[in-house]
Amino acid sequence: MTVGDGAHPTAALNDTVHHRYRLGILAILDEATECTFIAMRDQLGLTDGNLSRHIRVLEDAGMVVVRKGYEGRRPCTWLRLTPAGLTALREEIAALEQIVARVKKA
Amino acid sequence: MAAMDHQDAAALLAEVREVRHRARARVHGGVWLPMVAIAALLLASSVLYRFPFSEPPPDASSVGSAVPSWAGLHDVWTVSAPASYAYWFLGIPALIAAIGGWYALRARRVGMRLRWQWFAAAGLGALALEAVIAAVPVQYNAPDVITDHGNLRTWLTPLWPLVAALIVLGFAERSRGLVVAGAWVGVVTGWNCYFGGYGRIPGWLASVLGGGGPRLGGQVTLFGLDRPGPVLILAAAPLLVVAAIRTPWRSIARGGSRSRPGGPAPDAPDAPDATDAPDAPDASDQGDRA
Repeated sequence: MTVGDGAHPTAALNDTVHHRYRLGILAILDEATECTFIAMRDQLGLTDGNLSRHIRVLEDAGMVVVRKGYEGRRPCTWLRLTPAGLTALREEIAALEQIVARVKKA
Repeated sequence: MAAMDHQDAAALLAEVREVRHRARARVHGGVWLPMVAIAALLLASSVLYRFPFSEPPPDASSVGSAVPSWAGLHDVWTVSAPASYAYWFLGIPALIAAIGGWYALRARRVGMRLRWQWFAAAGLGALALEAVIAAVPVQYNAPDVITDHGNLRTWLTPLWPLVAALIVLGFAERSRGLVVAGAWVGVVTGWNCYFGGYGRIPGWLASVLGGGGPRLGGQVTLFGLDRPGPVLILAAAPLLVVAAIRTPWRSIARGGSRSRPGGPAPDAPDAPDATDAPDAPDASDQGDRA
């Protein structure tokens, strides 16, 4: 969603993405090709259950891909950002920056 | 969605930037080693020349025009063409494999992966392309092929695969410094290929630097020498500078980074799926409708 002429920037905020932890998930995945579930959890300071819930939301929205594999003998879950997720992240950041910019202009 | 005031937006943006900054430091914290390794390969190639840091004695016999220049830089005093060929055609793949192993190790340690395979494809692909071009049979009657700029073979040097690999790695690592350092190696290589020597400059540049005079071209020297050693140092120097800037000295002093403080439990199971019983929601979920 993008902001049209005259519309308030909050109209461009995405309900799915507009959450500090989900934004954090997308931002971290934007920096790397893939990230493990454990590394994501440690960077965001979440519990396994909370992170799982947020990732499920993003996965259902087509923004994150979850891949289960193995590192040696240990099972490992890898997370990857989709093009839709990248677009949503950039639009959300742009909308937030517009909100801040409107106040600075006023 | 409830209206969001600018302070909330600013705070959220600041959080996202902080998270992104930390993630970037973690995922790109290993770029220093490939840079140092490639610089070392460049500098070590000085052993392929008989007189890398000194002027050849007057009675030294040269091997003649070396095209393609498998030692790397055009030089008539190379130790051995087969040795030069082996150095680069074994050295570059071995180096790329070692760097790939480094990135695989880092992915296991920090839990984040980079798309380093493009770097490997660029380096190995360029090397293979050069080998194919060099294998094309040609007949040479030109007495001075090094200065035959229109001939593709005068531009063949194993430094180009390193240039391609460095630039692609720079994009994968999101490092402008690395891209510039790689391009700089390309500039030095192209300069050497075009003029067939060390430090030669065109007439117009010689006039600019010398303040006038005949436009016959000129020569700049490094440390008073126009030999391959200083040119290799010139090519590798930006790589080492960027590597020094990007090295996470504090992390190395602490013994390297880990996915979690204190290191992961050796046999800890992977995280449960979201279908497991959920934990209590975190405070920021209040009002979350997703």
